[in-house]
Amino acid sequence: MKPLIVTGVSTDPYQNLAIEETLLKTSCGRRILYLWQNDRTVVIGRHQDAKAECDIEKMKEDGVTLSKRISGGGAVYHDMGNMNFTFIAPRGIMSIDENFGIISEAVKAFGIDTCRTGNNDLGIASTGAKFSGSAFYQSGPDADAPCFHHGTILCSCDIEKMVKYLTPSSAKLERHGVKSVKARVANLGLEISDVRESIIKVFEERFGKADRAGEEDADAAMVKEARNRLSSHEWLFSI
Amino acid sequence: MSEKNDRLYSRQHEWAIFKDDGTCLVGISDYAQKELGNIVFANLPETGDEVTADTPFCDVESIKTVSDVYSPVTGKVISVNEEVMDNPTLINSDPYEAWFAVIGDITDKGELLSAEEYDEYIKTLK
Repeated sequence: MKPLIVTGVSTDPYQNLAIEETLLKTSCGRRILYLWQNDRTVVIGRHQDAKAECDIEKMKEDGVTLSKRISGGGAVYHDMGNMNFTFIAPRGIMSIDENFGIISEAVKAFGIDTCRTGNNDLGIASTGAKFSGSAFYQSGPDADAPCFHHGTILCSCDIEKMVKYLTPSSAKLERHGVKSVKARVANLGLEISDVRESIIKVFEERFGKADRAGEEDADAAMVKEARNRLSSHEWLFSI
Repeated sequence: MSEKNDRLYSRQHEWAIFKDDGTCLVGISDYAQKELGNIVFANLPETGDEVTADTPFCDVESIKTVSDVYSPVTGKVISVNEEVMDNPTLINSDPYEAWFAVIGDITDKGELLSAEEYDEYIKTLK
């Protein structure tokens, strides 16, 4: 089966997380790359407490949405200067290292060398500053269980805003040995569309020519159900 | 390792002990905890939740990933293991003691394997 590439159009985080989940559930063993963008939102990890991770009052004032993904890990800020990637595949053939390799090679095409930082992050090699953070979800521990590896790529994200909305505990920052969010993240300074095309090129070099689909091809009833669930107060504020 | 033969196993790597009072104790297998790696959060169901056989009823987060956990039976959650919620590393250190939930009002079961059958099954996965 040929791999599939889906390029998102919607910038609504709830809709996009619902599309991502639907693509996973209907993947049937297929390898999928989904590239998408969210308008201004804070996305927290599945088991995080929204009230502890971000400043909900400031977000409300500025019209920034709160969303929560089904994968683990920590809170991130997205805006249209950030692009998200999702690699979907059965667990048995999913390689996190291979996925990071694709992103690194795609960025290297613009003369930027990268490095792995922390557990699941990519940094700019010259400074070590993080431009990409990843998280993971699997529907079970078996080789044929669909899973995804998704992450952010900061191209021209408003880092001042990121610092304004995210409220990581000082203990966590001390553990990372740095003073602030601002000190450890950086933008690539590239155009989103250029990075998108570069990732698609490297993905197809690895896995062969892919079919293309739009987000509207995802099962509409499943997307609707998932969007309702993922945008509910119960989901956003349960831990 | 040889699995414990005091219980049954699902192909999704949960274990189930059926007790004389008609309830069922559920947890995840040694194979599952090893595949997950260090578990940092156990998102257990709530007492009173209705659960369906072979359908996700809770999830765990390890340093690698979030993974769904499937219910081996259809029924209702009678109690959950608060100790495991407070200290999820118990799942790694002793998966066969660290039960997740007690399920009662059981009306259906998924396909469950004996310890021996499960042992054979996990050998085919490697």
